[in-house]
Amino acid sequence: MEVSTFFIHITIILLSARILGEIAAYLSVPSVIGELMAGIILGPSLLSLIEPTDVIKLLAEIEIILLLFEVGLETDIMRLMKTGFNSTVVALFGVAAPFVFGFCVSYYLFTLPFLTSLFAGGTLTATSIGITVRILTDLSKHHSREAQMVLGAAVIDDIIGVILLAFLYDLSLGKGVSLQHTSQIFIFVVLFMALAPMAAKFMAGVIRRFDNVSQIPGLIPTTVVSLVLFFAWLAHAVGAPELLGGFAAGIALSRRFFCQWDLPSMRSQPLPIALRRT
Amino acid sequence: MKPIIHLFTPIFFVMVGLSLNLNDDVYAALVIALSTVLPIFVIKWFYSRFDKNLDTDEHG
Repeated sequence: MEVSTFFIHITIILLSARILGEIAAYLSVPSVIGELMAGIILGPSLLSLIEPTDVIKLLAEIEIILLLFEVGLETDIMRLMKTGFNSTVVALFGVAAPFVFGFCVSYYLFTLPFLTSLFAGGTLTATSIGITVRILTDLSKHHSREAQMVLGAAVIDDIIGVILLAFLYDLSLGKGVSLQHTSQIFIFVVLFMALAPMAAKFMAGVIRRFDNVSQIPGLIPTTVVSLVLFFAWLAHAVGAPELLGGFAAGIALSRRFFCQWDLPSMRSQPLPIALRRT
Repeated sequence: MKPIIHLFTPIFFVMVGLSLNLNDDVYAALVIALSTVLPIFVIKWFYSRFDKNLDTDEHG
């Protein structure tokens, strides 16, 4: 694809998302519906104006990781932990219900092979955490108790989903289920979620120290974005969704976990100013 | 930085729509559409119906 073609595609995507988002908001429908509609209209379903190329997919992926970073940044880790039990129950139902439903529909209704049906059920366990977060933000409910519960459940749900798919993948190889491989992924993901905030906190200290001596402006946004992308890579490396890397980095820099940084100013100011110690 | 994030996040949601091909993968498109679009309306309905009954303490 020509670079100029990419630019015009992004222009069309941004403008159409904005226009349809505004129309949706005018009709008292969440603006994200308008943005989804923009994609359906521009895509192969209707106009075939824009192909979902790898470059656009990549850009979309980076943006959703940064969105999850922002959500993590505004998440109160203590409240998230308080809803732990409820979130776990919601997550377990959130995994079991679509898995059983997907399997039953595939196996009994469409008479697909057993293993294929299991995979169909497994893939349905994934959450649309980005969309959920966006709706709650649009409704200004992202700080509410139930939103924290949904968020916690979505994170747990994604972890369980990854482990389930790893389990099914081993099963599909025909060599039996490798409990060692499955439990290895489980341990890696849990360790990542536990240790990532601490590692990010350490790195944030280093970043702040270097910011004091840096001669070039913009050190903090550069390093924070690098940190987020690094954690996304790390999450993928341990077998977790990349989104969780962005979320973990956000939690690490959030108010409760890293209270030296002032959140109210962070909300209202651009990052370079906001992340300075007050 | 936040404005930049908010400026470009619609690309992700447009991308979800772009990935749907309602002409070919009808079943897959229906599953994605239902599992993606339905919760939006459910959450909106939930808050319009039960918002007053929820705990209003939003800051712990």
